[in-house]
Amino acid sequence: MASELPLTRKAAILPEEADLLRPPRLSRWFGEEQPIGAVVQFLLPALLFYAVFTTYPVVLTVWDSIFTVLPNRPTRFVGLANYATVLFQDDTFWHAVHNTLIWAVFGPAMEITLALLLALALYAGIPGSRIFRLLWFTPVLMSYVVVGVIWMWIYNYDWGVIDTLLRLVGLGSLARAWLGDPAVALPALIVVTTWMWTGFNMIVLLAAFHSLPGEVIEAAELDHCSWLQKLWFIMIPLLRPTIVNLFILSFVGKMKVFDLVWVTTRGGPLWATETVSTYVYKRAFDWSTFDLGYPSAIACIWFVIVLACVTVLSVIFRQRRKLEF
Amino acid sequence: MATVELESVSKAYGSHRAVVRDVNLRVEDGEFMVLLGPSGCGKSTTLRMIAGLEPITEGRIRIDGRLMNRVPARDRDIAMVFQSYALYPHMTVFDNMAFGLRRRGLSKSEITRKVNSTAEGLELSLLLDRRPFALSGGQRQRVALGRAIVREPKVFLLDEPLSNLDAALRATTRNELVKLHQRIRTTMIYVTHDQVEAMTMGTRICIMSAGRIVQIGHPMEVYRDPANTFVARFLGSPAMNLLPAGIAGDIISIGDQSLSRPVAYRGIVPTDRVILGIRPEDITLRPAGQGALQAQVVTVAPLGAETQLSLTLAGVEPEVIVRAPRDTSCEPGQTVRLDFDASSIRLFDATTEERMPTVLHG
Amino acid sequence: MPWRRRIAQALLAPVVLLYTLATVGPFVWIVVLSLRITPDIFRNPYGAPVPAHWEKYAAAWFGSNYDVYFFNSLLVVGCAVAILTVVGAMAAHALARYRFIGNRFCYFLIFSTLIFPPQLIIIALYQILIEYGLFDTRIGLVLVYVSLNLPITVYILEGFFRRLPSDLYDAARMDGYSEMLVFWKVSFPIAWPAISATIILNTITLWNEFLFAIVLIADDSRRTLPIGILKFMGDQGNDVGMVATGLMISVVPVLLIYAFFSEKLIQGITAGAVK
Repeated sequence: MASELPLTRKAAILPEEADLLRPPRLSRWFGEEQPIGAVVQFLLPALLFYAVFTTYPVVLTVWDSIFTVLPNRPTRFVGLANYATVLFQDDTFWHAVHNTLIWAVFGPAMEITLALLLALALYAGIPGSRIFRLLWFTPVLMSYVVVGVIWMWIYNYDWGVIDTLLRLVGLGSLARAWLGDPAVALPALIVVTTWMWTGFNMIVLLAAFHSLPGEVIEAAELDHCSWLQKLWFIMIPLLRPTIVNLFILSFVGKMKVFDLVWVTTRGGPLWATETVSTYVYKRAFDWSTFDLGYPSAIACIWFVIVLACVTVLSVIFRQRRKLEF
Repeated sequence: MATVELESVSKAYGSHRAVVRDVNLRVEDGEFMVLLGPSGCGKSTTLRMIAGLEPITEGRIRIDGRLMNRVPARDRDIAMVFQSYALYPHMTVFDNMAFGLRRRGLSKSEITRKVNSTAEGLELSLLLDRRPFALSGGQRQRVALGRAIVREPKVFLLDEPLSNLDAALRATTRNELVKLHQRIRTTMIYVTHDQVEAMTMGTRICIMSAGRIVQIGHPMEVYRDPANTFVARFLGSPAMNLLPAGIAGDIISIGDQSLSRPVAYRGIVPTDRVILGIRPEDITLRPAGQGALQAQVVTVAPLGAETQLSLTLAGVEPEVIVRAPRDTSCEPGQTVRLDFDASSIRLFDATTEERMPTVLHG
Repeated sequence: MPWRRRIAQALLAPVVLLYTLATVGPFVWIVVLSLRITPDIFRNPYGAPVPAHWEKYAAAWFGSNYDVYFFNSLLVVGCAVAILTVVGAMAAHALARYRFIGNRFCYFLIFSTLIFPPQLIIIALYQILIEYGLFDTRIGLVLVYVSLNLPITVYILEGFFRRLPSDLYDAARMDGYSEMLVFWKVSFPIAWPAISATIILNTITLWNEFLFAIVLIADDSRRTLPIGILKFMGDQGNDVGMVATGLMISVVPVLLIYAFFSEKLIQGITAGAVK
């Protein structure tokens, strides 16, 4: 056919063209000729921030942990002595871990249970759901400082809301200085974080409810499932991934909690509300020890604990088989 | 001048997935070249390589003689119309069309003038302030076209631009595109899987299959002389009839019957395995007693403008489709006599499925 | 069955109402308290704000350094969010739309920091900022804030960028735009809903940020609002009325943002968290 190039002819390559044929050096690395310059431009700032303000500090923390780091004195290498002290001799640390873990387990449990109830309520068609949604989300927006101060006043023994109400209904004997009593201080704070975060969980769960496949629920109704059965056997299992995500999110959040404790009890009374974060802060910045190596060791150990917990949680709750619908 | 040349162009993902193999193609200035083929044959990938949106694994692409392998898409002076139109959703129709011009350093008034005149030609003048979501499918298609036209590129690339339109709109838009090409005379390369589009629009068709070019030529050339059975089946609706046959002496035997061998195929060595191709419109029904072949009617489909018959020949497996005049009256089960138009018979090798050489074409 | 539904509603309604009361009650109380003077409050903690002492707001603003704290917060959060939006969007765009070795690695790296407890970096950041002269500066705080919220920003935006059709980018390239311009003129504007959600999210979380602000800022003139309130509490803990006014000053901007943008914010959050 006259219109096809004869297959045997190989065009001569002009010298100035040779350049245009050679593949760029880095294309193998980057695969398929991505515009390397542009990608670097896009990614570099973020990676720089990450390197300087995340990687570098982490490395430095680990480095610090094997030294005694004092101001105006040369740092002294102590090897794993800090770690040994933390793990085996520091009762305060373990008490703080204990408090934090209780918070991180019961807090999310309460939040999510309450959030489920509320989401169900809205899903079941209580009127005015948009307004409720709006209102219930507001605690999430507040700074912990604001929340802390408000609840300190609510928990106030003399004129706080709770004790006033209790005295009003004749249960005055139950009134106490909630944040000053070692036995109830931690639960009191857990109530505060639950108050704060339930709204967030509820909104996510409500959205998840709405995204459930209608056909599955209708099929359940046709199978004469009772309302409760439908809930327990079908809807909650379908919501499981969302619930697990929310739990882990909340769990990690509680493991980090600092602001609330610092504003209200500072870890008191008598270590009742001491968390790992407040302990680290005190060790590093508050007390006259000035040694930064020890709290660094605590931080490293704590990171490992958090990572282990998250991994365990993910593994336990991970869906075995993907739900097909 | 805007010729497009592809020399031994190949494209492979990784070391094993070759999507385009050794494509050699030359599109002349002002041609309307259609790349035709089934899904996955590599036509879109080839188009994207010409556009500069896909890197070339092997081979060379030249536009106007200038080597384009490493030249980025934005410097190639090519415009493309996408199957999904790819209109910028956050811009008005005007801005969509002006977007490409703004990079050229044209003055604002110049840009406005060009966009307005292109919009007028496409009947978009009243829609210039709308956003894409407020347009119908056909309107969006015209905006996509307008966006390409207003840039006055050297080459237009069109990637199945009609496939998202309904049938009626498709037919009218087809005509519009042909008229557009006649008016502006720019080189156009058009990708489609629809052979009707290819036949009606292209000055030349390039048929691709499994990454390779199978045949290039003018539409009627390719239609009349398909290079192999793939092309024979792909073009034409209903498709060409392909029947197993044998050659011995001056006879072609089809099943239990025989025809005289057409003069053009005089030079072929006798063999008992060939494929005989004959288009439904090249078979004529004859009155009883005439005609070289006999067949039995299976189905009769009166289509209005014509009647399509499906027949079986004795000893031949595939049914034969015939396009008969509309007043043909037949019953299923009836025996009829046929003639094949000798000059339209095409023979293909039974193993390679390539067409067999004729003394006329060589 | 509608009557079952009625029962469910009847059972859940008290829960809903109680919770609403518990949620909104404290705010109402604070608003009321902020308008009363402390002696009145101690006499009757739950009385109505009559007369309403609006001048307390002015007193807090000018008299107690709240204007300084507010301005610092505005400056630090404003800069941080601006930088976050640009840097985060660019990184998300690169990770979502280009294939290259180490793409997933970078994404994982950035995303994994969400699990890091702040203790892991706060001590070292303290040392680092001191060493480079950024301690007790607002710039230092801005940079730290950016790196704190970068992961969540990239996470949200990457998912969004990934879903944009590739044809759009191809069309822009053919229209003569370089990769960077394609980002600014196509990716960024189209992603505006997601980007605005991250802006709101970042603004609110950084406005309320406490731990890093308290460690990395020492001088009163550079304090941000949350720390300012804490100091105020420490100085005048018993002046309940004034503290309440101070709280309100901190809360009002956030509530304003929420009032205007609640839908966007909620949509942005739920889009990422619902699996």
